[in-house]
Amino acid sequence: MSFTKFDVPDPEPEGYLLLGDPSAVPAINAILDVLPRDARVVAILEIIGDGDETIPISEHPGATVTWVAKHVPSRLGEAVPQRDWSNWLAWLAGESKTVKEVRAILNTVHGFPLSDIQHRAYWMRGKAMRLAKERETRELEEAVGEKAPAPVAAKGSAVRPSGRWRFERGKELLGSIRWKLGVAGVMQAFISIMQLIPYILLAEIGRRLLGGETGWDAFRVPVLGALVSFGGAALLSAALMVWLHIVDAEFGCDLRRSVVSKLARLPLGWFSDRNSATVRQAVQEDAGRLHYMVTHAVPDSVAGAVTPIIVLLYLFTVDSGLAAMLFIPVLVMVWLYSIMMRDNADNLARVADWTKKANADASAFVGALPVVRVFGGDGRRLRETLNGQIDFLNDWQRPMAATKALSQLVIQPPTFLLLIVAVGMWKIKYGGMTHAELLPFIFLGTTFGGQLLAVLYGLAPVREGRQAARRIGVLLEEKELDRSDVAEEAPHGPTGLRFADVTFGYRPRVPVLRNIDLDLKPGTMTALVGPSGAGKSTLATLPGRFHDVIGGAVKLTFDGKEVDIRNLPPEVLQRCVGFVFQDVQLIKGTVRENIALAAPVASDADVEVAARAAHIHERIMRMPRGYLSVVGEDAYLSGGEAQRLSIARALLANPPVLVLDEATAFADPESEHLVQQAIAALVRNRTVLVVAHRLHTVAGADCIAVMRDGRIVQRGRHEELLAQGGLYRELWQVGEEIAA
Amino acid sequence: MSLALPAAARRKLLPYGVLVGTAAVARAASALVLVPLLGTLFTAGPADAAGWLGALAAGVLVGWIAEMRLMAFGFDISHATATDANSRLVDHLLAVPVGAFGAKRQAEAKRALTGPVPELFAAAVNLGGQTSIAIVVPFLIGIGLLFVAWPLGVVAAVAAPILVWVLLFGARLMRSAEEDFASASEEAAERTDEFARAQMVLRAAGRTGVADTALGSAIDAQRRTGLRMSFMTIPGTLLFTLAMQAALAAMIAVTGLMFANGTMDAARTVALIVVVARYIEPFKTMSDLFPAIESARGAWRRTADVLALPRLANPASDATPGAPSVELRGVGFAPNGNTVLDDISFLAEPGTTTAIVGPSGSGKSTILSLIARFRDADAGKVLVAGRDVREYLPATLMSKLAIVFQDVQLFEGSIVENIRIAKPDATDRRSRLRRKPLGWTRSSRAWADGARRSAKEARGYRAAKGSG
Repeated sequence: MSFTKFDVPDPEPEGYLLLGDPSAVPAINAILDVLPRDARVVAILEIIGDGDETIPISEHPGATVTWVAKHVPSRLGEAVPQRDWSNWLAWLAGESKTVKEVRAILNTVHGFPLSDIQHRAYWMRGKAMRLAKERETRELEEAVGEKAPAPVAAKGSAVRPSGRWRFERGKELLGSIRWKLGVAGVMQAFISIMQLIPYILLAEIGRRLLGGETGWDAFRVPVLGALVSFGGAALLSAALMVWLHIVDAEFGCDLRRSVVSKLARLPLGWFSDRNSATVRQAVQEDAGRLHYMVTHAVPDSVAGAVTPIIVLLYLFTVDSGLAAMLFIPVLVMVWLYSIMMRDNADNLARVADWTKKANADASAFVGALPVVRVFGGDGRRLRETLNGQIDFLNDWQRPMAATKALSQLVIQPPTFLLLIVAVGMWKIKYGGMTHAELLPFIFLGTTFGGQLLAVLYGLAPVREGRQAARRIGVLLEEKELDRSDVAEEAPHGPTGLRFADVTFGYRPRVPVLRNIDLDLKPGTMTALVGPSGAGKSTLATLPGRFHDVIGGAVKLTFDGKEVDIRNLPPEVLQRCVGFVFQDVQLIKGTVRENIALAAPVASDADVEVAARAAHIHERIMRMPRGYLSVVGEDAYLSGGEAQRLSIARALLANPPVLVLDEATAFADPESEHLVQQAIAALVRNRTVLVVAHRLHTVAGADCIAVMRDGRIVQRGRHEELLAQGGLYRELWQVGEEIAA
Repeated sequence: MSLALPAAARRKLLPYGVLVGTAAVARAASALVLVPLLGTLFTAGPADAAGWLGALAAGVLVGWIAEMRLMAFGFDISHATATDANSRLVDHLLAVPVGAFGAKRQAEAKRALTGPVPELFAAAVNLGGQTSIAIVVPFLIGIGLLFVAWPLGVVAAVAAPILVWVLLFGARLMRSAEEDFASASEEAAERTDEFARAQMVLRAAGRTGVADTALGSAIDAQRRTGLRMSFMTIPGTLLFTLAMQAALAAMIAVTGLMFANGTMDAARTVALIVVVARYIEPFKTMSDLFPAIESARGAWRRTADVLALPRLANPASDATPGAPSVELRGVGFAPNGNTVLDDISFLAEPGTTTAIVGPSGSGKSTILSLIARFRDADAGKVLVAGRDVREYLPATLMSKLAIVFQDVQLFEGSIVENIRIAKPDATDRRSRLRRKPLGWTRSSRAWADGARRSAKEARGYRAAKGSG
């Protein structure tokens, strides 16, 4: 009995279609418990016995559950409604015959790709309800399947809805180089034949020797032919490799570039949901896995297929009986291999789980080494995980050691040699085979087993490559920020910012900001305050189009005009709106590069002016190489210093609108004073939106907007709000207590 | 290679070697027996060759048994080695001066922990045995041939080391190009991490995309070095293939000559040609297995590199701590030539609170890290509880200290696990007691599952950061 775990896939599907009968209810309940609350779920269950419809199903806000009346044959497949099921995930379990039928219906009628229908047969009608072994189930399904009626499309649909599934995109990825891979395949076939010819010629030489021929003339042709064939095959093979590697280098580079460009157009929410390891996998590792597919998969598999086929064909013409015998070791190997692969799907999944766990634990351990050391951690958890991983691999494969060895040995040359010589001798004595006829078998027949082995070893990288292609394909299909075709005038002069009835949420049905109306006049400072989770930081990211709003619009105002930021080209928007974040993101480069990030053509003098205004110039001069010191190598910056660097960056870029996110919340007391001065320089004559935790730093703002639960609940100047009472006064008093 | 095999594995090495030898001898014998077998078969007939057939069968059978046992041994050896390597890695990482453990070293350590396991497994299990056999067999065949047809034996004996040398030469050609590619890939990977981490800022600065950016040039460098590496691989492979074919041709030529001047009859000549083909075949195996061997070697080396990181020297025996004071006497610290601390001396009496203040960069955090022995001072003494920190075993010193870091590190586990790390045996009640003063329990109960929730999700609560 084996178990498969249900994981919420990444990226999440549009919805979940769960189909089954009472036997599937425990699993369905478990799935409903782990699904996100805002997921859409359609569950259709078949009644088997009376009263089944009263079986409790887990609560889920987005789920509709329908029970289908009892009927033999099952009506479950017909009960699936016609709609666009694009990117939905189908999960199906229950009676084995029903599962088979419904799966076919989902595929042919509703367009679900077969590989994206998770299915399991739990019981067979006619047998007692129990978990049957995989193999028996399959056999029965085969037997029953022949008699199953052909799936009937729902009335009124002649054409099956096409629907697009993200997960199929991987196949298109290699499209551009497909013809090149085809050419490579043909070349390799040619090369494989050239590699066989010398051995055929050796057999011919042997035949002539046994026939009593002597003298160079008798052997000249086959000998020279063998040499030419050998050398030619080697040179052509090298040429093919060179060409494929060039193709791969270009392809890999283009692919990485496409992925990077794509990433730059994705909403920032994509990045915050994932860590840098996922991005690294997309850009680097998956492209690397495709490398094997491009450079080796085609030649290796063509060679693996062509060589044995040619050899067998040739040997059949020499002596069909002995040639037929050559299949025996191959069949034995296949049988042994199938024994080993029997429960492999689960184990492979567990290998992936163990790898993920080991990676996570290793990251945590290495990243938190100081803490682990101080609190006396002995790395116990990591040790357990690593040992668990090895033990799992060992327990899985060790019992199969003998079988594994045997499956390799049985197609090695010595085995074939023994077989050929033994059977050959018998045939010579009783079967009328001549001595010369034995030679081709000895020269050619012994090695093709090895080629088969090479193909098997090549399968794992091919599978990895296909998974990598799939992942990249999915990534390239992610929803980007919308681009508008409207050509709007670029803002100039004093510019203001306006939030017009803005509603926004990271997930479509879960708004984080509701009906935000806020008007920032040019040259004023507006502060956003409120408790944690009020939505201040989220609102602050919207002017940069890090996400697009769901409702309303964010606009820039200038010269009496208003322009929606979605209608501005990104470069223009970036020149207009600058950001100084709490999380200062320094890049690996010189101090100068970090400051001049947004203005690479700025002169050294300009950079220094900005640094002085940000009160970071003296600190930079204390570094070993001044402005040319490399951040992270020559110079380590404290939190407050990094803040001032990013302020210098913003000063140099000089945007008319500026968003400051908790820039002064750093607890670095000496720095705070300097940071305050730097910010004072920064906000002069600019439209500023400040997100603040510490109220006393923004008490002088032109307008303070108090937020709670995604709405603005109070607004005005400091004195007005204190007089009004309410949330602002509460927060102010708490702030005073802490400061006291 | 500083990696030594653990005792459990070392014990198995001798029987492993014996099995490799047996399997190789069996294979070589199976090849050599073809000379009398085919010679008799082609001159006298099947009936007379039957005895030799029996010998061939015996040789193949012995080889089977040896190689099946070899596979099992391979598993045991690699299991023991991998477990031991992991254990030593973790131990070593716990003793490395944390202060010197930058981001790059961290990445290396992580790779060493997670990379080698599957590699080591596959290596010892599959490749080790096959490669060893493949190397030994041609030599044995050559020796055998010396008795049958000595000129051939001589050529075989000379050709074998030449072919191995060519194979290694090709590998060396590739290795430097491979190192360039590896460092270009590493740079590209770092830039990719930076790209993801700093996406907000890069976007705001209009510096995303591949034109004119660091990531773009890193990807280009990767492509260039990847191409170069491929070009370096090919001459080596080509050279090796041609060398193999030259050896084959030479040996067949020698056989032909012996036939031409009457030393060998036709049947024996044919048999010898067959044996020559059997002699060449292991070299092909070696060349096929080579990439996998190289990659396993790389994994091994990564582990060795981490183990080579300098570690803090631990004393032979533990010191007994006295009253809980902290003292610095004439402490100096100057990593990489920069003087960070110069002649620092102070005493913090037991039960008192001492504050260290100063502008940033003045060395405050460094003093703390010296007290915790994240690094060793270059001059002077750091004393905790009356004894030099270097005199304590790490666990003892750490039991005397508790540090609240500015950079909060939360672990993968639940909130409870994160608190429990200080005292893994603490019960729920004790950890709840600790949490209450921070004003935590109320907000964490707001979550459906309370403290079992993943700590990472709890990051949203500023409570952990302590401000506002």
